[in-house]
Amino acid sequence: MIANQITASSADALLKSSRQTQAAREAKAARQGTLVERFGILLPCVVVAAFGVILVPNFLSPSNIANILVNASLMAIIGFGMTLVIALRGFDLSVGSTMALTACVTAMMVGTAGLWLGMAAGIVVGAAVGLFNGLIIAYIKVPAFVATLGTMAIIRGVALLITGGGSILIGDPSFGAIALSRVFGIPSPVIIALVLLAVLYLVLERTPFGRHVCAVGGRPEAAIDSGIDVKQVTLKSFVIVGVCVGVAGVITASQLGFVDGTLGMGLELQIIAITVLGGTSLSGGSGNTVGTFIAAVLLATISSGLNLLNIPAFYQYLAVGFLLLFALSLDSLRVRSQRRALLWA
Amino acid sequence: MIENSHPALQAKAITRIYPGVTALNGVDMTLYPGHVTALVGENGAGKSTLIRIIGGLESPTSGSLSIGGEQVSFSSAHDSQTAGISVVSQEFRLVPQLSVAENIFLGHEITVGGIINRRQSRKRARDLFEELDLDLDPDRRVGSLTVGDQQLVEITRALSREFTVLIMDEPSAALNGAELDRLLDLVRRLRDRGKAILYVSHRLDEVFAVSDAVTVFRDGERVAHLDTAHTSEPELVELMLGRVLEARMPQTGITNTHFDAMPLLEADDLACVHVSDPINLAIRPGEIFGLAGLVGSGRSEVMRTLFGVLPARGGRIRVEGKEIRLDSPAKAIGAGMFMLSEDRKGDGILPHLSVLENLLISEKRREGTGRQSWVPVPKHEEGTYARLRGELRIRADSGLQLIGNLSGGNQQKVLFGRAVLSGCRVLLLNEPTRGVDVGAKVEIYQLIEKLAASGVAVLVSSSEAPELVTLARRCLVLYAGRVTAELEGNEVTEANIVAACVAQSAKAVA
Amino acid sequence: MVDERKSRTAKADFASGSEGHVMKDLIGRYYLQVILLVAVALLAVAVPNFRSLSNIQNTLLQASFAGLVACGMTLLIAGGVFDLSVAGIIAVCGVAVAEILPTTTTGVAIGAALLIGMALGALNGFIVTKIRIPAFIATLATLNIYLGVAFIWTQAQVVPIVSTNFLELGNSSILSIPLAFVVFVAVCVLSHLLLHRTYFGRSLRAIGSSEQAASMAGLPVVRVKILTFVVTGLFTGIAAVALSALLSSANGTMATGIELNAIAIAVVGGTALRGGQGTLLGTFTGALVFAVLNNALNLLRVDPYWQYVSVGLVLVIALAIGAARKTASVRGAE
Repeated sequence: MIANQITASSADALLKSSRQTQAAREAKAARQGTLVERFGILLPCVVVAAFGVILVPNFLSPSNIANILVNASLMAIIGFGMTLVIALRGFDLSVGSTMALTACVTAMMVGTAGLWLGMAAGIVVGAAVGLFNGLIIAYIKVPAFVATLGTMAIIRGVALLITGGGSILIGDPSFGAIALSRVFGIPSPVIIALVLLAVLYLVLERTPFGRHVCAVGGRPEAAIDSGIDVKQVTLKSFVIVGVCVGVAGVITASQLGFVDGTLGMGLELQIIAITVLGGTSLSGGSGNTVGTFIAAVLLATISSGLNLLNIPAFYQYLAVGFLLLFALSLDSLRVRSQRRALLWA
Repeated sequence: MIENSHPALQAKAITRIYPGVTALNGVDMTLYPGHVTALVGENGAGKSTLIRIIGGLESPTSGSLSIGGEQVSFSSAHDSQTAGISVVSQEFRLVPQLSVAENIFLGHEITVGGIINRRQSRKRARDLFEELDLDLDPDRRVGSLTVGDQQLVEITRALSREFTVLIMDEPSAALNGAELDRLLDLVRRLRDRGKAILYVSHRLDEVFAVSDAVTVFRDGERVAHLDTAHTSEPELVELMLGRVLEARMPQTGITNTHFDAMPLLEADDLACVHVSDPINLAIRPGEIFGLAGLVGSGRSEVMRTLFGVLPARGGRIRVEGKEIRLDSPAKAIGAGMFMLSEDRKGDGILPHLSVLENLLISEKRREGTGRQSWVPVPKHEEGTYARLRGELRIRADSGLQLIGNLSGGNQQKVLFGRAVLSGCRVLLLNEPTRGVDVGAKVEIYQLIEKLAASGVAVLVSSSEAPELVTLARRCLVLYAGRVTAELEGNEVTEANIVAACVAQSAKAVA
Repeated sequence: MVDERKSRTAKADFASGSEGHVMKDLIGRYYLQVILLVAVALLAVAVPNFRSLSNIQNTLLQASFAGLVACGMTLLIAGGVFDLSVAGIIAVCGVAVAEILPTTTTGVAIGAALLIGMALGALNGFIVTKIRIPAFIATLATLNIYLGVAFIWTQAQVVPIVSTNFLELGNSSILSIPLAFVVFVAVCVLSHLLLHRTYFGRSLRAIGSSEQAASMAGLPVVRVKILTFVVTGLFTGIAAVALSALLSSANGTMATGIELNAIAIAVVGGTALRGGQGTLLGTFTGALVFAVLNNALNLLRVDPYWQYVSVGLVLVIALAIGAARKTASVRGAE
């Protein structure tokens, strides 16, 4: 028994016009989807801010807002680099330790070699750690999270060693002034964060390198097929996050005035939290730098709120942990529904 | 045939030998500008190998390749691309998170001062689309497009690089009717623009729709090169098969089928993903049922739906008369089914476990007998292993060695033994002899028949027609997601199966 | 279609261990144990304090805490997952013991701590399998949640333990060997049997080897994974009890960084990150190696911060060697 041959449809014009309306509808849905993806984080931000205004005394005071923004900026600066790395489908657990190391090195160098050299040294150290991570991950092919788990310990040890376990006081007052200075009334760290946001947004979205990062993270076979050097792209991404950490370390050193090797413990979780919360998917292929900044503000707001309400700092562990779980669940849900949609296509 | 004397690509006496197998034997291929050449042949005829050689992924053992009259030698895909060859492969090389334009120019972006010039990229993309009379939005995320549209983006991507030769490998495997028409239209337009096109496909409908000439490969050799206008489907099928049809092997499946028994596996109007026709079948104890189809036919999707790996879009599945909703392999196994998938390496063997453990992993055990059901008893297991090793003639030095050390055929036998030990009453086999040497192949056929003789209902899905002719008493044939033939008894011949696998309008010959 | 053929004869030789290669074979398979023995021998000769009974007891004790956690970690890695939240589980269990002890018997307190450990493990397992979040980042989040719970419970104070019953038990020895170490050895043996001699262990290894194939073979993937997290929680709970007995106190930071130690022990011990196999003998040896290393650094008066560096460095080097060997070899043989 053989099935009958199906004759081809001949209503070409009708088909074309119906396809056009369908395409327009799909495009609109796709645009709406991306809008939610990109700016969904704003909603919880507004909610938390509302809570803050209602519950917390002095929440809207200029000094508090400046405080929140500065703390957010410090996290965001590292977060931008992490966004790039996660878009690559990589991971960096060593950011906390590296920040401590760069802050300590900066502190030491500022005392001995002067302001600019000290700051440069900090950033160079950050880049060097990134280079080390990148080499192990890209060329020796060690899985990223375990490799950075190892370097996290190594760098922490180094930071503690060079400081002898104690703190370093930065005597140079002009260095301390950097973090406290303002440009047009906006604290410098915030300006730096915004500048880095602009730069890294541009790099990720509008340069070939950034698109290559997304390709490697989204579909490595496509990247290889297009002639992209996956190892180079990976290496550069880790160097970039290292540089970001270096910048954050320098600003932190300037802000605190004295540093020690235990800085930034647990920072990696916060950075990953703001990156995922901000809309960057763990499955790679895309990065939301603006979302990372907004999520950093969210986290800083929660921190500040808890502080002002005299809630002990360790409650923040809970807050960050739950927030991260929540963001991860959403991410997982989205990926699974996308996969299901592909099946029915 | 419009042929000028300047071929765009000329392959002469290409031979490619792998250890133990000659994939290509002195094959010639010439492609002319403004000309579409179709390449047809059964699985294993050498088509993929030739594509890989032209695409720079492999080097020929002997023979020469020239582009535009100059001899070339490729050491990488990049070399081939630089020489003006563009290959559109079966799996899309697209990044779902990037836009259409970004995918098209991935690796050779249009930049201004280091920054991607979006306006230029969009314009250039639109220009490309216009040339090809396509209707795509350059800013859409590729992941949100239909498969058909993604295919077109893939082709546009190939086009964005300068090329003179375009090779399309089974381009229509994932397309439906209207999308297919668009694709064929596109191919014609490219031809009119002077490109040399090699259209590799097993779908003869399309070959006749779009090609100027047809080359037939068989067993690694070029057996014919014909003017499309001067040949016919039956002639091509005969050339593809070549040998005189052998008398069919005695079909023990006929004598084993318990005709009055209730079917062990039934599918009622089963709607599977990527398959447009509903699937209806009923397999009785002792019967071997065949499911035929080539790449993109939907055959694997049907198998996976029957085992609970893919969700069914509609219809019912009944095992031993009871309707069940299969949403996972575990559930299917619990209902008495078992499946050997086509991807032995990916979801068949457990690479880090020993041969013995691979064999016994799905063993049906006595339930709830206290401590005994937690701990495997080595003596008992070794006994089972020895017994099955003998019965299945598995060649392994020791049950404790890693399964990865065995040859493909022996691995398959181990998986077979796993199925036997699971006590299944319904066995689904997807490409049971893929990557298996000839000797083991015959042994596996014997195993399948023995299993059927013991009362198991077997569903064999394969892209090799001779295999189904050997084993099956009844056979369903799929082509591009549609059921093109339901064959029974004497109708189950190689010619009928192949004919229905490659075209929609085949007629059965008993 | 090209038929894959492998040269089976060469592999067969290796599998049966032909004459003359036995010694090389042995060293190849037990190189870590050899390294440990050599290191211990060298230290015993070179460093006088190393040989003293109290030092040996101390080293064995130190090996036990991270070692107990590493046993669970080995099982998890064999199954293709991780647990970074162990420091949090220890904190909660340790604090639980400390807080519950004054109100009830030693047995009940220990039992409660173990149950809590298992519950937290189950929570980890649930999040990883049902909400489908990658294990390492899911447990990174739960680490913080559990730490938060511990800190809130103790209000960031250190909770002292005064129950003499408990302290005597926890710090007791059997034939001069610390009880914690005896328990560690027992857990190692138990884990080995679990992984290699039960259906559960076989399923776990199968899932770690190829989750797809394991699913196709009908194995209960979700159940096995969750149970493995529960078992890890149990072993971690035991470590918490032992540690709080040693410290005679408990607080949120009592086990900071132990996840790194546990993973390092498992990896250096020879359990491959890709999953599908695990060696408890390796984990046992690895625990001792790191304990001896730290002990040596202490005795030689090396800056204690070198311990961070050394653990991380050894881990990275072991990973690098493992990764390099994998890309060189074709088959994933042991």
